[in-house]
Amino acid sequence: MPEPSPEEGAIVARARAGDRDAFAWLVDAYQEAVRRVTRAVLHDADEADDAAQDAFLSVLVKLEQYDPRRPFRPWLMRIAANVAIDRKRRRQVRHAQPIAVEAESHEPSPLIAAERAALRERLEAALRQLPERYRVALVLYDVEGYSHPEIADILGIPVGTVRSAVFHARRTLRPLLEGWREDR
Amino acid sequence: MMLKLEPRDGPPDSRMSAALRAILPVRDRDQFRAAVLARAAGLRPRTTLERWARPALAAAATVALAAWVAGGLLDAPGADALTLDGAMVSSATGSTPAALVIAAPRPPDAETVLAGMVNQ
Repeated sequence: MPEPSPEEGAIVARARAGDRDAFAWLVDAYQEAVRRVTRAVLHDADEADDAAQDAFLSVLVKLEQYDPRRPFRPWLMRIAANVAIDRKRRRQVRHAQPIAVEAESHEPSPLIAAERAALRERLEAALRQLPERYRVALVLYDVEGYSHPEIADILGIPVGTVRSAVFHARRTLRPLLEGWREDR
Repeated sequence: MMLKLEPRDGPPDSRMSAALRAILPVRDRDQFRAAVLARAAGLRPRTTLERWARPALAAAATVALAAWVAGGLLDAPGADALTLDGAMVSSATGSTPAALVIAAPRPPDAETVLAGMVNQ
């Protein structure tokens, strides 16, 4: 995970003081990570985005409780993970503002598209079969670049449990990556 | 059979990362941002005054409750309290001592009764 910049600290402070532009900057900067984590918990893209929206609103409300001496991103990710896990447990249908799905601009050939779709389906199915904790830990480690201790702090579990979760999740998914190319 | 050992603390795996990014895509960043900000606009940030308001109200309520309890103890029926019974006796007889005797929680003191009779 990249080191937090002094700029980030200043922007968080501004958002904390009620500056909505600063809050918008935080949404821009961290929405990918937040949405990916909520997606790892909830699977469904729309529901995950609803949860991600809720997480940012929760952050806005809780900013006054945030300790600026601590790093902001793990605090944000902890809120996002908790919102998604809580939502999954309750499974209440709430409707946030829907986000339209745009068509991808460069469609591959039907054969390649079918191959990609099949591989993606297998991966998605395998990911879905993993315990929730494994999925979130894997995304935080391999995609977002958090360390094991940071993930332990975010999820409120022991470091050893995080190590084990990432290890087992990787071991499950790796065989499926044999045919995976990074330019997909 | 050879076991392929994997390090538990291996660095982030770029291929795993790419695969996860592909199956957990994040689309429509601008629309997501707009949706969050639209919902945030409905939230009014709490001002400093509002942050203080709740504890201040709680403190005021506590003080009022304490005052009420203390006042209740102080206002317990006493010798000089004029009750409804006392007021009725006073208006019927025109005698304040008689009213005090009626309203008193304890039996009347003989000297008080005699002093009242002498004054009458």
